[in-house]
Amino acid sequence: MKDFLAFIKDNITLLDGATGTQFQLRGLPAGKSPELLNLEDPALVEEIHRAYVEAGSDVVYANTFGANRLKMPHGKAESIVRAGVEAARRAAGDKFVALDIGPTGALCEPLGSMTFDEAYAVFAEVVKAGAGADLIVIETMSDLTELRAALLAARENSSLPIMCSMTFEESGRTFTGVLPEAFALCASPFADVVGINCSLGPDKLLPVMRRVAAYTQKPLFIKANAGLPDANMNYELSPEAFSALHGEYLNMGVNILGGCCGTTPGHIAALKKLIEGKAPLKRRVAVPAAVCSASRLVPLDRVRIIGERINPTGKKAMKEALLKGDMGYVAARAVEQAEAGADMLDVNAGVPGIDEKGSLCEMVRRIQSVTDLPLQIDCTKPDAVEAALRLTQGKAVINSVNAEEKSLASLLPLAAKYGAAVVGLTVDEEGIPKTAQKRVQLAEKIIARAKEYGIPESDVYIDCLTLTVSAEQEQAQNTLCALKEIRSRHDVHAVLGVSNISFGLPARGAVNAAFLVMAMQAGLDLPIINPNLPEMTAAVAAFNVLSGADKDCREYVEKYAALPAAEKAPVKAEDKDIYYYISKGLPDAARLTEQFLQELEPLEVIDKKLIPALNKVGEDYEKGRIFLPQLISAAEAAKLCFEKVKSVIKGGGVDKGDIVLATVFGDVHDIGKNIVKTVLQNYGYNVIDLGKNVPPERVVEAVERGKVRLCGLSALMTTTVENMRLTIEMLKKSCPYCKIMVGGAVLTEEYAKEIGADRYCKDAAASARYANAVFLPQ
Amino acid sequence: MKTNRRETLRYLGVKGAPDERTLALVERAEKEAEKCVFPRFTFRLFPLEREPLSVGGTPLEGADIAAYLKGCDEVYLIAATLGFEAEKRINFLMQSSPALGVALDAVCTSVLESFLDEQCRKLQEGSKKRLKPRFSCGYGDFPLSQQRDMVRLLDTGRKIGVFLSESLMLAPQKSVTALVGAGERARGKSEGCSACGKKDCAFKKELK
Repeated sequence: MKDFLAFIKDNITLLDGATGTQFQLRGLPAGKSPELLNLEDPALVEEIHRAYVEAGSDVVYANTFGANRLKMPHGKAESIVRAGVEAARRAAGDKFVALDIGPTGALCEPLGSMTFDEAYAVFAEVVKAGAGADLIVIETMSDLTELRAALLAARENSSLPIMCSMTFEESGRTFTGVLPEAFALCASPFADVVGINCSLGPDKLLPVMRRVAAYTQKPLFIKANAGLPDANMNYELSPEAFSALHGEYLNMGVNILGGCCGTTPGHIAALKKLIEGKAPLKRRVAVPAAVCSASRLVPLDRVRIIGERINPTGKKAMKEALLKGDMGYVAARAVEQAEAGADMLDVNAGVPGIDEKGSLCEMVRRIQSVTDLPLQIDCTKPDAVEAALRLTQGKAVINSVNAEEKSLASLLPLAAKYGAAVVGLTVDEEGIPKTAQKRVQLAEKIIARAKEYGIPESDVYIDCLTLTVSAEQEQAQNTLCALKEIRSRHDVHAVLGVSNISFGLPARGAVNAAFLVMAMQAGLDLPIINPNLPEMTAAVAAFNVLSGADKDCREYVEKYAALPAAEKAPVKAEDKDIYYYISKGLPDAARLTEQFLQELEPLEVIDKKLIPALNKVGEDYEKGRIFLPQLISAAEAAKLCFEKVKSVIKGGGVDKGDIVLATVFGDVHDIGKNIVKTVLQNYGYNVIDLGKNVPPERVVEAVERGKVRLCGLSALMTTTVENMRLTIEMLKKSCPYCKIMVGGAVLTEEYAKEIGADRYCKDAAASARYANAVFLPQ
Repeated sequence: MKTNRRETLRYLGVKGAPDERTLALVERAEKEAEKCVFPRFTFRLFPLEREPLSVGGTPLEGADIAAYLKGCDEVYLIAATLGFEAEKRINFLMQSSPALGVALDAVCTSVLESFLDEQCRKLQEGSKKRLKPRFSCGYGDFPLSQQRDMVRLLDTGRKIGVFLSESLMLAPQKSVTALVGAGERARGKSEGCSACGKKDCAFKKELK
């Protein structure tokens, strides 16, 4: 058996060129899938492979790019893959045959509706059917989730070497927004070789390749187009011109070359000439410490804030939301922290009695649908951590391992497999060490064990543990001392949950801020804090200026110079028309509410002031006196009012009732549902927002769990109304007490009746009216 | 990036002259759009095949598309998108500032339509034939399921990053595919809302 990985170490390696254009030259109709020829005309397929072998290709890609079950005729995908690999083998002689895997054509969540598991299954089938190849190539990917699904499917269902490449635009991102650095960080743990293919000529892709190269130690490959096509689909670069543009690639240590769209055996022959007599250059790269999501890179080159708010510990509202499955609440906390300046988000689902794995995955999905902050999976159960890591699109952090062998042995392999960074708590079976020295010892044990799994120091974040200063005053210094020591001895980073320091003290903010600054001075670069507290984020921003990390104070100025002066027009005492402020969407409505609360009982404020005002706004909308934007602005203003009222009621219990909302399975258009949610929330309802693309069973589960009396479903198109009907059917069977309202572009009164809904709501105001009818029958 | 404020306001359901706050909101949304909208366009010209009526070997189903293509001998398949950044921004704003989110959604819809108009104008300029107003899957009895053919024939995933879900939804959401008939004898102005069978549509253009 030829060893591909050994071969590329010693040789500059040539891949093949375009096959699609070659098929068309030989008379394949424009709309037909070339993969079908593997069964229909294998001789033609072989002929094209042979032309590339003769031109000098060391590797031929089998004609299997689109041979998956989503693109091929029903039940044919596997035989097409097998036939493709066999045809390539017959043509290849002693050259390598690659199983070629392209995108499924569908898009993964959150941008599309395909789940990670569905994508994985599609790819796994191809990988197994293509077992006869010498290596696997995953190429032309533009979505990181889909790429990761393909990579995992390849790793877990085959032992062949894996190459993978994504396709970038001139902007330096893929169509879905993936950064070259994020691609490199996320692909490297799974792939043996990473690269770029398609879209542009070699010259235009060079800057992208430099960015990929900086973030991976893996061998690199380039398979560029022959420049850009003209209107008749003729590509601009001749074989010689194409080949000449590859000199720079060889100089930077990209030792595997080939061609994509518009290239021919002539182009490969020209490359062959270029590499003659040249030996592969060895690259030496120190990959910078960083985490990322698909579209955001967070290098650890300064203090970075980890947002702590998505954690039910000590937070009643979050705990309740998780128990009810209200991921809308989780999403709102994510967005809030992103706006406040968090660089990554800690995600913790630790509520006693909860399905932690399921909840954690659901949280990851929802958070990723609204922000692109990298995530820290805060959990110690290996199966839950692994499930969450599979879904996380980016390089994540595992929070955490400790120095106990059991913890290290169960979680470090996961960090290594998925390329995640890992938080190491300086604690072991004997508890938290009292001395700084012992904590350093434990940290070093963790670092050493991580190294055994191939996890570099730069991916280990040591937590020297914050203890409560009012209880053990000398421990504050011990923590700082250990922190300083470990940072000076090793290339690791330092994490610390800061606010625990002030527990039990008055004016906690002052203590927290002071401790934060001291800890940063000692080497803390990953504080876990509440970014909504301006004094904490400001301390971090200022520290980054003073340490010199924030060059030219640019980020600091950007953040604080533009801060608008708060509008503080006084609310006139005589002007107490809450309707005016709410209907105009003015935040002053909240201050007026505060004044009401001086005079009235909280519930009276709601019933006598807020609800009548909202009803009047609803009436204005229906009469056409105001329109959608004003309705929503009014709802936003009312929300501030309700928050004021809630803040004075112990337990916050002003909710008029729970309402489950979901955009049905198969449907990702949820803007209408989100409008309804905003309006309902501001009538005082507690909305359990299940999000979009929600399977019927999940709706039933949420309704059953809270014995919820009203459920709203939305669907955009006739294709998804069928899933709405199914959801209603299951709900009616399992939860006959629950009323169902529906809405969406194609729905009508009659259509709604036909699929069994209790009410068709043409807009958000109508849904609020129906909710009032269900919950407050007069 | 061209915006059409009148259309934006129509998508927002605003009738008559908008008030100051609504205008300010739309202006903010237009500024947001400038930062997150990256329009892309692709097309392919096919000869129109008859019996059965087809492009690129793919039959076109339904009476309405046949009526539309009367007098045409070529068909442009076109696809346009604003890209995923706009969608991500709308998702974010729907959480943090729903009014702005809704306004940005409307701005994006109007930008996409303006962008398509512009691209079709360019196609017309480059052609000696007369081009008809665009016709999309789901119009009349032209089935939505032919979206699969549109996406395949145009290779939209590779060319402009437009994908199709199993339930026939395009991603990014602000994406359009369409046919544009062309011929010496092609006739027809945009019929707009009057050609549509839906009677209770909130967005129906008022007749002047």
